[in-house]
Amino acid sequence: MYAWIWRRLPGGRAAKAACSAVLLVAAVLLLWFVVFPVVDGLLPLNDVAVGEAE
Amino acid sequence: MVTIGVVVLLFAAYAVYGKAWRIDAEQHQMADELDKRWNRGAAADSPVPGQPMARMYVPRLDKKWAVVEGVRQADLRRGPGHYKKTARPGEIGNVGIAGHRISSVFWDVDRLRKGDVIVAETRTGWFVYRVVRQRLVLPGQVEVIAPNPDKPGQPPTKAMLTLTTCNPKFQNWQRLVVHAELEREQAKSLGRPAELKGLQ
Repeated sequence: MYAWIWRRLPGGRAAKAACSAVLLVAAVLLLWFVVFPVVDGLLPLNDVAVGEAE
Repeated sequence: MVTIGVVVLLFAAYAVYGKAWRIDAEQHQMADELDKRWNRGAAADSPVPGQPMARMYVPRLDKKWAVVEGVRQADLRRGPGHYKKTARPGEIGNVGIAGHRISSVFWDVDRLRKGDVIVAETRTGWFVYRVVRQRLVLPGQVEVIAPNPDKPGQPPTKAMLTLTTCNPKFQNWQRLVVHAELEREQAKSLGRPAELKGLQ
């Protein structure tokens, strides 16, 4: 998968490296601020109240 | 496979640090909001769900929070939450407060011992509670936040405050419960209670 992405990126080695870094940061930010908060809400880590929370 | 492993580790980091940071950020806002509400005077005394309703200090853990009204997930994302139907600080009955078991909230609540101080601050006064006992219960045991948690169903005779959080850490099959009893109250005009010395 990563080799395929590497081949698809334009430019020379430096440009590809820069592009990869940007993609990596974007992926991490997406996970951290969008995906993880949603997943966290679905997991039973957050039950701290007794009875039904209302 | 490596990618999945990295993502799982990243999620673990989020569950431990990311959420704690988010709550810290929300707490700054809640603290400001609480000051604003208190400056508005008595009109602000009926709590609004999702909005801060009091401050709580635990010197043993070196912590203070703005307590939010309500215990829905949306409320608890902002800090400890007050069970809406329970008493308010200082009242005869039982003030129920739930919080996440993460570093910026109730992570270390199991370290509280008998006699430790929990102070609640409202617009009108300071209320100094002392921990009387700690126990582990099942999630359905709502009697821990009953007005009289010692004799559920009976009318309350004491002013109590009860913290609930999940136990074990990062799991949900028990609740850790800390009961405290009101020792004394102090007027706002007398400044901070001596019990909070050394706490910011």
